Amino acid sequence: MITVEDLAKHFKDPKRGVVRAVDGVSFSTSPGEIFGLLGANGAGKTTLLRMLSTVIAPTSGRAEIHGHDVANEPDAVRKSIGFMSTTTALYSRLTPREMLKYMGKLYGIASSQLGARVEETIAMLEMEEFADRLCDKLSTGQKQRTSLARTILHDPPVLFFDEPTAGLDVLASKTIMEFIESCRDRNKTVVFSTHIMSEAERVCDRICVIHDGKIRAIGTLQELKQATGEERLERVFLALTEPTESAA
Amino acid sequence: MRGWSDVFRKELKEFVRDKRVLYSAVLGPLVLEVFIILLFGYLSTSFTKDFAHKVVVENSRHAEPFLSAMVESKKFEIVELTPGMSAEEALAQKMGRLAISFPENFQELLEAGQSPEVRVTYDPNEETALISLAAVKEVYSSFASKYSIERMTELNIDARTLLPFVLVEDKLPVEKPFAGAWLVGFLPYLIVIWAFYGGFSIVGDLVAGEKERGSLETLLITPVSRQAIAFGKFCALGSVSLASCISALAGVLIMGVAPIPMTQRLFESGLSLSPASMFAIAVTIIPLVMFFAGILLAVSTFARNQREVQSYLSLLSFVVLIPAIFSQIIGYTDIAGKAWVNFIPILNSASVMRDALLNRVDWTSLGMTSAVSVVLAIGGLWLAVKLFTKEKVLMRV
Repeated sequence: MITVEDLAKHFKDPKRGVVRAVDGVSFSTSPGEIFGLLGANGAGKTTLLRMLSTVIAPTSGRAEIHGHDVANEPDAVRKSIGFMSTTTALYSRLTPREMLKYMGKLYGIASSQLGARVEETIAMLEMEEFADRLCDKLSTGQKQRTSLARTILHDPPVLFFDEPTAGLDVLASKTIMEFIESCRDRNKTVVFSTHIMSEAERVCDRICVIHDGKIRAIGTLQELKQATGEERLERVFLALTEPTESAA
Repeated sequence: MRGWSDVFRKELKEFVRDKRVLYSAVLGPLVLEVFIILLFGYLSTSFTKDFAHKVVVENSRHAEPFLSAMVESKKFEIVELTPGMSAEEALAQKMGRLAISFPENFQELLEAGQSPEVRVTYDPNEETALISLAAVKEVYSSFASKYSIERMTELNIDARTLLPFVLVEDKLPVEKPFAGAWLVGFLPYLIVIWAFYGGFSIVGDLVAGEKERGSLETLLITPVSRQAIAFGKFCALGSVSLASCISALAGVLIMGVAPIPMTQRLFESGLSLSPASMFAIAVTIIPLVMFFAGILLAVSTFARNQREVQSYLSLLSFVVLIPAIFSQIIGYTDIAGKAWVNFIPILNSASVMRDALLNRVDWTSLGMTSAVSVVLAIGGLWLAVKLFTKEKVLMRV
C-alpha cells in the first residue's frame, strides 16, 4: 500500500531558478493494483519514484510505503520495495547469480535462505542458461531479466517500474509487461511509470496523468475517457496536458 | 554499518576480474620497480665507468712521477696531446675534459727542488671539466703531501711539526641500512607515489562510474546505509592502493635478491630491515593509504563522471607529488630532523620511512607522523561519507 500526500520536490537551478520537479502530488494505491504514472519525459515521474524509494528526500509533503514513512523510516521502506529501470546497469564483472547473492545480502536475506531464494528467482525468470555468465556478455533481454530478478529477489510487497521497457525490443518488452501483469495476481502494489500509452492502457488498473510535476488526473482508463470525452488514451493524455502547454 | 563488508568484497571481486586494474595497480608497480632499478643500475654502472676522467697530457714522457700517481689512482684515462696541437685545440676537438701541460724539463726542475709550473686548461662552463679538475686536484694534494714529507725527511725535518693537527676519522657504530644510499632515498618516494596512484585505476569507477552507468541508484535503494556503502568502497580503494605499495616493494625485493651484476651496486649493503623498522613502515603506510583512499573517494563521489574524476586528479597529483619529490632530497638537508616536518603530510611519512630504511626508528617522529596521517585519514573518510550522503552531490550526473 502506498499513500502520498502533497509530496513536492523543488530544486534550485542556477539558470532556471527554483524548479518544481514534483509539485503537491497526492494519491494512494492498494495491494493487487497496478498504478500507472503516465507523463512525458521530464514530467516528474522519475523524481516522484526516487522520493518514494528514499533515494532523494522530499522538499515537503509525506509518503508512506507499506506503512512506513519515507522520511522517518527509510530502511524499512527500502526493505519493502523493488525498483526497476532500464537506465539501471548491472555489474559487468559479476554473473547474474553472483549479483543476486550480493543484492540478497544487502537486503538482509539470511544466508541459510539466500541460496534457495536465488535459485528460486533464477528458475522463475528462466535464467539458468546465462546465470553464470558475466553480465557484460549478456544480451539486452537477458540483462533485463537479470535486472528484474534483482528487483524481486527479496520478495518486496511494493514494486516500482520506471520506464522498464525503454529501448527494449518487442520480445524483451513482452517479458517485462507479462511480469508486471503477474504482480497483480501476487497481490503486489505496483507503480508503473511510462510514457508509452499502449503499455499504460494494457496493464494499469488506474492511471495518474502527471505533467510539469503536477497531477492532472487520476482514474481508471474508462473514467479518464469519460472525463475528457476522448476514446483513445493518446487523445485523453493530450486533452489533459495540452491546456497548460497552450497557456505557456 | 551493516553491509559494508559485502560492498567491500563485491568491489574487490570486480577489481580482481578487471585486467585493467590488475595490470595498472598490481602488476604495474612491480614491473615498473624492476624496470626503474634496472635502469638506475645500468646508469650507475655507466656513470662509474665514465668517471675515468679523460685528460689530455702535454709532454707526458716528462711528467713522471706525477703521471704515475694519476695512473695509480685509476681515475684517469690519459691521452697524449698530438704534436703540434695546442691544449685549446685538443679540448675543442673533445679529446679530453681538460688538458695538463707539463714543461719539458719538469722532472729536472722537480729533482732540483724547484717548483715547475704545470698548466691545467679547461672550460669553466663545462661541468664534467670541473669534476675532472677536482679529481686532478685531489691527486695533486696527495702527491704534494707525500712529496713534501719526503723532502723534509731528506732535510732531517719532522714533517709532523708542520701540521696544525692530525685529523682522525671516527665513524659512529650505526645499523646497516636496508639497501644502498640511492634506494634508501628513493624508496619512500616510490611507496608514497604508489599509495596514491595505486587507487587511480579504480577510483573513477567506484562512484562516478556507478553514477554514469546508473548502478548507484540500485545500491542506494537497498536497506544498507550510505555510510556503510561509502565505507565499503573506501576499504576497497585502500586495499587496492595498499596492494600497489606492496607490489612496488616486492619489485624492489626481487631485484635485491636477483643476481644481476648491473643492479648489485644499488644493494651494496644487502637487504636488512629490523623488525622495528618493518613495524614503523607498516604503521606509516597504512594510515597514509587510508588518507589517500578517503580523498580519492571524495573526488569520485563529487565528480559527475569518470572524465571529471581524471581532471580533478590531475590537479590533486601535484599536491601529492611536491612533498613526495621533496622527500627524496630531505636526507641531504638539515631539515630532516626538524620537528615541524612531522606535521607536513606525505613529507613526514616519507621522512619516517627513510629513517626506518636506515634501520633507525625515531619513535616520537613515528608517533607524530602516524597521528597526523590517522587524523587526515579520518578527515578524508569523513569528507567522502559526507559527500556520499549529500543528495545534491550524489544525484548530479
